[in-house]
Amino acid sequence: MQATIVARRLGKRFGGHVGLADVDLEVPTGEFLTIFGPNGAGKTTLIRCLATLARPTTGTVELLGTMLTRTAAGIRSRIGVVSHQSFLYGQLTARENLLFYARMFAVEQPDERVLAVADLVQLGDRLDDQVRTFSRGLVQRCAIARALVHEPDLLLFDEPFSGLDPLAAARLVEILRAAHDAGSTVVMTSHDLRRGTELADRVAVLRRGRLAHIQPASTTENFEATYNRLVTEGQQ
Amino acid sequence: MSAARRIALVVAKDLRGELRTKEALTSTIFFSLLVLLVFNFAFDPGTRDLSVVGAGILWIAFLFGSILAMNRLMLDERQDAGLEGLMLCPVERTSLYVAKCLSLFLLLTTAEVVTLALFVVFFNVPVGGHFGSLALVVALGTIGLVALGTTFATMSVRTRTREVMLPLLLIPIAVPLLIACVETTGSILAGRGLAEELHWLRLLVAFDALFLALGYVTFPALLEE
Repeated sequence: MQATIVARRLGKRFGGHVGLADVDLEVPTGEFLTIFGPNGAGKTTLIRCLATLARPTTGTVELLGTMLTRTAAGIRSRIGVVSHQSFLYGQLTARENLLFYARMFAVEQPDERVLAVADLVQLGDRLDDQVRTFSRGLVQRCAIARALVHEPDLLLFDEPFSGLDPLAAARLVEILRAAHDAGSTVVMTSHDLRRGTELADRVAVLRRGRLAHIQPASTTENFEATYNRLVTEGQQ
Repeated sequence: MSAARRIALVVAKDLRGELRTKEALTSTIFFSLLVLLVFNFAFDPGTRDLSVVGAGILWIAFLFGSILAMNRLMLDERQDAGLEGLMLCPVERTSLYVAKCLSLFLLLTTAEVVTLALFVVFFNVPVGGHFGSLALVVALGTIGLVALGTTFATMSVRTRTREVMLPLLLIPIAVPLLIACVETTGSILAGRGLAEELHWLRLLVAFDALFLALGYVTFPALLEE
């Protein structure tokens, strides 16, 4: 099967601090990979490198058959990213934000698509309110709608459940499952072992910037113990 | 979709946000107004040759007002990582530089039109006879400030001391631009026009071209982590 992500010896340093080190990762097209790890393990750095937001210090990344270089503009139209930040403009309404991104991604019939993704994340009657008036959970829903507005082939979701109430989190599980079923490749980072494993085809553990463990999600009965052991070892 | 269309989308987004809050525009205009007022009290306009001090006063108002606008425009992009949202779009980062320059130019030009009108009223300066020349000098000076401001505001907005950092970076490098602007504006205010100031005009054009090109080339690297 063709790989959507091929990372070879991927490394990222921030001055003297190692964010990522020698990460070799291959994600086949259509796979759902959940990456776990304690705070500071490098999950966000990995997502940022894959999303073309951060430039790796060492190694290479190939996304959707294209080697990432400084001019990776074309490939970005096929990637949807949810991060710790919303990438939304507070002074604009949710509709204006979503329409702006839809047009930037050259979405055909942007008005209809915005209504569709707003409905998907259940933004409801807040579509014409300024984003700065939103609660954390509503901002996160709007950010998820923004990431989906151009129907990307690759979804990179960095702890997408943070800030969501149980109903919204359940809705996000449905959205991610639907995207996966439709053939999208999903890489998600999470602290939530239950949700992360139930959605995934494979699960991985990042520890101190290194990929410490990766296994199929179908054999997760011992994964929690493995995860706890790896995290404990990493702290020693 | 063409780069020009995406640049237009970013500029329209910036202007829509600014029209809604008017934060950058009002702070820039009020700060420029304060500068003009202070100088109006400090120098009795009737006792000084305005062609000498007037041009300096006007460009000090433009410069310090523009620094507020530059900080504000980039801060809007920094909050909730809007700039990173733009970096995720299928657009070259050099196009983002062009878009941010255009947004800042439109914003500064609007503020400068108001500031210029206030300057004419406060200092009773006749500019009607050479309005075209003055508009040319203001446009060239603004382009230079925009080229520097977009680059340096992108650098400084990541720092905790951005309000101090931006003027520290910008003002020393803007000195040749300011001298050329003050000299040419002084000549216009004295009623001499620009015929004898072509060397300063050439300097302005060269400054603009140099720093626009430098900003265009370096902007992608400034965005990278």
